[in-house]
Amino acid sequence: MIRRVVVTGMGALSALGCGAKQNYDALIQGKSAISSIGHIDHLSGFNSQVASKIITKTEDPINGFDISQAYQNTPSIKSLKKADNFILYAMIATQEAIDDSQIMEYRSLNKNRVGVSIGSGVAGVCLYEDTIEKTRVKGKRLGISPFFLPSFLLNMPSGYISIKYGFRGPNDSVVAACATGNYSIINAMRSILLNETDVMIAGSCEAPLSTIGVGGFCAMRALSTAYNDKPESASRPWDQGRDGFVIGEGAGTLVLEEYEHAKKRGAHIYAEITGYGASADASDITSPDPSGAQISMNNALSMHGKDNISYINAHGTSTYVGDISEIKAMHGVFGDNLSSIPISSTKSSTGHLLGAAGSVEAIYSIIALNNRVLPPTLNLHNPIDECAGLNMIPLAAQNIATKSNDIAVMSNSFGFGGTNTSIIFNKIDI
Amino acid sequence: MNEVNYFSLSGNELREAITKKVLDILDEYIESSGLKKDNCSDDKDINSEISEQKANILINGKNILDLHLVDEVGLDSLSLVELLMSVDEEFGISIEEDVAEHLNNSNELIDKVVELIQADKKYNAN
Repeated sequence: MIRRVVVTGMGALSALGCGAKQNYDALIQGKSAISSIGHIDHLSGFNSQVASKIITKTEDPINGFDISQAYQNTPSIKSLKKADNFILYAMIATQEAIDDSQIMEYRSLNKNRVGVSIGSGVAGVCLYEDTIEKTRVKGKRLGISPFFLPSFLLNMPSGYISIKYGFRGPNDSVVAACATGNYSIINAMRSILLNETDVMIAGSCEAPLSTIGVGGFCAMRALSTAYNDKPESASRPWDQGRDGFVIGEGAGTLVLEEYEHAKKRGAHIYAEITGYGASADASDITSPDPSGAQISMNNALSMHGKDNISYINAHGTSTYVGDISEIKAMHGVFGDNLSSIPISSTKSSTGHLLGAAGSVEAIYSIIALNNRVLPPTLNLHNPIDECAGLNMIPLAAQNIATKSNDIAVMSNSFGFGGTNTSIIFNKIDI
Repeated sequence: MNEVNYFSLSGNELREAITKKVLDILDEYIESSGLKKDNCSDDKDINSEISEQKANILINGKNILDLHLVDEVGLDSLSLVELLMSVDEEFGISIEEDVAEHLNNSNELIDKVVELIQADKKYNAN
């Protein structure tokens, strides 16, 4: 029997807010998560002075986000308190996704067949940097905490999640730069398809706002620099005034489940994953080649096997080259049909969450599919020529036009190294 | 950070100052272990009279300084290393690893710190 994979839980955290629904609502309202970082010591002085940063309680006691909720309800895992933020973000998003799925309430759950695959692009780069600083001040012996390594390693979110919930299935972390989130979902889906697991906790997280994290992208001239005084205008995918992406942080987690397993326990099913594609450009380390993205979209579509894509959540980072390349690839894949498929980039609102982008955008896409309201591309006032005749959902949210209930959305994520991923979520009726 | 000059102290005074500091460092671990102090209104620190009271803190009827660091305070291997690093840093000493492995409780730890500081003093005096 062919196994099918569905989504039964979601959790998201970004500078837009904590919670999948809160994030989506903010997107639909056209809110921007992007703010100035010029006043933050270790991030000041770069050409790019904007980011999509989660403001913590320490920074803003009144409106700041209380990150301690990541470890407050897990007193048995004391070391979590010392973990880098990328791990804490994942713990928060995952708690929401697991609560949402009600999987822990399922008495017959075989935890040996529940796996975890949470990835990250740059893992604990903040702690890494702090620790090197500390060795300069305190010396090598005292500067490095015994908790340093387990607090910055890429696979620790997956590790911590397995410890917290007792999931004893496959436990790994995929890294594929800015395609990490999508790759984690694909990887998790494969595990269910191969009958290794019934449930996979899949997602990604990122906390890159350290000196080298921001500085590294800045040195590549990848970040926006022209809108430092108007942060909310800085991320403007496909707009002629775009000048680079806006770096951001956050996490997204999805509970993926085998269809019969989900049905048996009466779970709420948000969508079925009906197709995915993964490919490589095999061309340049950073400059994309449209033919690579074309392969991943085509593969996803042929697995999906239907002609009902009603929305594309594009990678759309707001860089010169990337935005053009992706649209060219879409033209190649969809041909004349492209003009009837609404496309937007939620990065116009959230900035680019790097490794976390794929999973939060998958969540945005799935909620859009269910609510039939599509998030807009903010700041898109003067689209590039390649977008002529296309519906890029500029400035304001739109409803899904078709009356049909059999609709699907595609979410793209591409990464440095020339890695490309596309995932298709289909609405499901039971 | 180092407000106290341990080298200028000796005898009971030295031991008391070290005890006070070790208890300060230990506090974080006691707290995260969820252990409750039997006889403690929150300490106000500062002078050594209070530190004497601190040293008499009981947890489950046992003096805090006698609690086994692993079995009773509940330190895992990494937390134990971290605690000892904080102690090394505070007192400017280096507790050898083979010694560290055999430390059972805070009293033994304090003994070790006293011993190392006194050895340093002697060395400096020569």
